[in-house]
Amino acid sequence: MKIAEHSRPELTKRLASPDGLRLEVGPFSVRIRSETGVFPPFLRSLYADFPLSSPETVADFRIRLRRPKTFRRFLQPQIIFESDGQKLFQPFPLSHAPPLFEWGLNWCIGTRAHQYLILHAAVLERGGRAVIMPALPGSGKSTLCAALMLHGWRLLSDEFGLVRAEGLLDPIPRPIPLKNQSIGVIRRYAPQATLGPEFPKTRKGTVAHLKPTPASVARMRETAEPAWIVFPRYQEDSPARLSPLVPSYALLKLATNAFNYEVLGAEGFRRAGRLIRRCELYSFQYGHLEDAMNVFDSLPGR
Amino acid sequence: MNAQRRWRTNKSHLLWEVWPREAVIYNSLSGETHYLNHLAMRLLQKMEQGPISEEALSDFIGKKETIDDSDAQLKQFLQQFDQLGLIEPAE
Repeated sequence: MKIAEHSRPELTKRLASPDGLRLEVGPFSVRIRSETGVFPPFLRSLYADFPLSSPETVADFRIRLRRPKTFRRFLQPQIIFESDGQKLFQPFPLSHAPPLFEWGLNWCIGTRAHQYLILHAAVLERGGRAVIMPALPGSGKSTLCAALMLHGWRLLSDEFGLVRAEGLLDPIPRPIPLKNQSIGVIRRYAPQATLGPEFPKTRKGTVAHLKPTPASVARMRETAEPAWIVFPRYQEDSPARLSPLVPSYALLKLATNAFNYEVLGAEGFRRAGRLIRRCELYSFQYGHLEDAMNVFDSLPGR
Repeated sequence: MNAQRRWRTNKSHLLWEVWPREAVIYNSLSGETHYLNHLAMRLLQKMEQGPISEEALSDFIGKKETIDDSDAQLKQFLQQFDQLGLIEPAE
């Protein structure tokens, strides 16, 4: 059953139970327990198309959003993220339980899913071929990723390029966290898109999450063939410009930007090297989303 | 330069990604990844073939590359390679 097929009270009850709720997200099963009423509406809206797994499924990650039992709960209520009973971060304001869940799940994946080379990148697919967009500061990666998804590309992830040993990419489509000006940009670009509530004053400013398209979620067990690696850079009012990239530079950038390159050691180097060899490599500067869509519609292929 | 001193790479610990004029290598002993320009790549590839003296490396550079003060450059390269654990003296 999908999340949307459960009523909000049902979800709240299951989240509060000792067994929690088991969510299928890409290749992972996530057990979630939550004691806050803030979280179920977010889950029901932004994860509407995601399936629940049976209680017998072994969870890859066991997450709990717990309210600390201190006097502070009556004045400025807070929420704690726990993974396997371990508190991982400083408490967040209770109202920020959804972004805390998102960041906490990112942490779990980035630090534990070492069967993959985990690139810090957005990944999208169309026509059976995937584009990997590594995230560099100020790149505008999430905005571009959101626009491409709304333009018809299948979202594999806004955050993780999960590279298998044989080089294929596993999807993990989740809500895309838009920050600050990007929220308005995407609202104007696609007024029909479903965005969650805005969370102001987080460590990354104001954050709102964009719901992944149903088609992306429906195909979240379908691997994709990497075809392009594009390093995007947003520059206000710049014309869209795609430029070939030197492979050695791309390899070094890709490797240093991966979450677990050092953990995987030689295997990380081999996977990154094979990825560079099978992909077209570009840097991409853009100032307007419409121009960017045109460029991505006609990415040169082998 | 010590003309007779011989060097070899830590061959079993180096992984290569090679392009016509540059390379990136991974040293599994240090866990570090290094970029090699053309000359560095050629020198390291030469040492991969087996122990080789500094004199022979100097001749190799002189024949293959047009560079100023090649011995000084060779000395600098060998020092860096040694510090990075990419090469070792061959007894």
